[in-house]
Amino acid sequence: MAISDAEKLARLFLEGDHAEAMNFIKQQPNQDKMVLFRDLFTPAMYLIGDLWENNEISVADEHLATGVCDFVLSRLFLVSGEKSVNKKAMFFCLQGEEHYLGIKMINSLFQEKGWETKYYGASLPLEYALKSALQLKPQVIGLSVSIVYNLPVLKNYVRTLAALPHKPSILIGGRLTEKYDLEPYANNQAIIIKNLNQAEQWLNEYTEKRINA
Amino acid sequence: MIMTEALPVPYLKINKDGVVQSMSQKARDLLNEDVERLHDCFDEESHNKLLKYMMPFQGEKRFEANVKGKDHPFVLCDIHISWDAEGFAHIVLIPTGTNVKGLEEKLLDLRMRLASTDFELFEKKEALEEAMKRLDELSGPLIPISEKMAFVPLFGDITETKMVTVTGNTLKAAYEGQYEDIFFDLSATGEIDEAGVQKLSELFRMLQYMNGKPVQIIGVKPKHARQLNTFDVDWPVYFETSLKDVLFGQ
Repeated sequence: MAISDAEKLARLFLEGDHAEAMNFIKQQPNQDKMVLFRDLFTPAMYLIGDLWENNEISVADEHLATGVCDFVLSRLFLVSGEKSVNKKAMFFCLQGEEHYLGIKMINSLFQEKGWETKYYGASLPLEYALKSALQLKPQVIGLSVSIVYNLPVLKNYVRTLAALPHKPSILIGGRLTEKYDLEPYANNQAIIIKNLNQAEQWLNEYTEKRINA
Repeated sequence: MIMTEALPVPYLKINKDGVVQSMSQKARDLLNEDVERLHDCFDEESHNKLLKYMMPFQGEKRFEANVKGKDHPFVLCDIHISWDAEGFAHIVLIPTGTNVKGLEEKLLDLRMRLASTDFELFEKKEALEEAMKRLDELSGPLIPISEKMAFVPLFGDITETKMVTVTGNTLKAAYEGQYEDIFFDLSATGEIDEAGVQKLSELFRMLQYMNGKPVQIIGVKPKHARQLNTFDVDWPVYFETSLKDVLFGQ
């Protein structure tokens, strides 16, 4: 059976071969960032999770793959060009949450669309998030949560950030959004984004609304 | 029973419904107090993995899973499990956290490093290094003057890295051309450092072995004469004053 491209990429991550992984990505016929994220990076990382569940790899392997994936993302998706001063967003994972690759990709998509972003990566305590949000006044704040254990604090994050005087839109993403109903945590004050497609869709609608407004 | 209690590792015995029958003191130290079923000991994300081992099987198996610890919500453990003929499973949990911890810290370092790396700058640096190497390659071209004579002007400062690059190219060209006389011209040479001189004299010696005849140096400036003399190198060369003298003087 032929192995899929996502599987090939997962193998390269697990082997720690960042150079080959970068070549592999560069050789893809469709270089659209969204397509690469959705059809290659995300399934490759999910696959690595499955391999752990099947006892084929260890947590150490997972860590290596995460590091390599992070490097490749950082290296390939340089951000440059014009930044809009009035489109600002910040992204981070809840405190204790170490699964940051998804939100890193979302951050990259926003940047591509000309947003000025602040990306805080893994595990950002609420007090820092609040402080930074007060300073930056982003229109969009994106949170990511992937582990059930971290869920209880989500409500608190949403409530606190939604109460900010400049009324930012709050987005909740992460692997749990597809597995569980997070509405009770969102408490009508946040929007749940289940995957990259939804993120892009939301972003397009948001931009349209602003043009029409 | 007493045996179980005193085992030096966290150990659990469960029945086929997953209900805990007994555990060692070490297991009590590791896990929450109120553990009744094996499921309660594991993080939700590890439940699917655990399920695969909950049917009796032959022999023993080992897998990795996150255990809900007394002091920490996730304790990464190596789980060893075997089923006996009476339908009880024997499970040993060995925390591996400390091994992975070092790795996690390294990863965190890497992440910080990545976050602070300006990749645009990084790529410029790589491009620059490439350009420098190219520059070195072009700083010592071997120019054939006649079938028997070749001329190598050395441009810029003589450094070790430059000489390594020049050596490779020159040896190749000299071998292909089979020249009798090779002239090195220092007219366009800037500073010379000691490591560069070492490499240069090595190159001269290699060329001498290949040609059976020492190379000749021309265009030595007063500054070079002093520098070359300070570095204690036994030069396998002849000196001529200029290319003009060589070509027309004789």
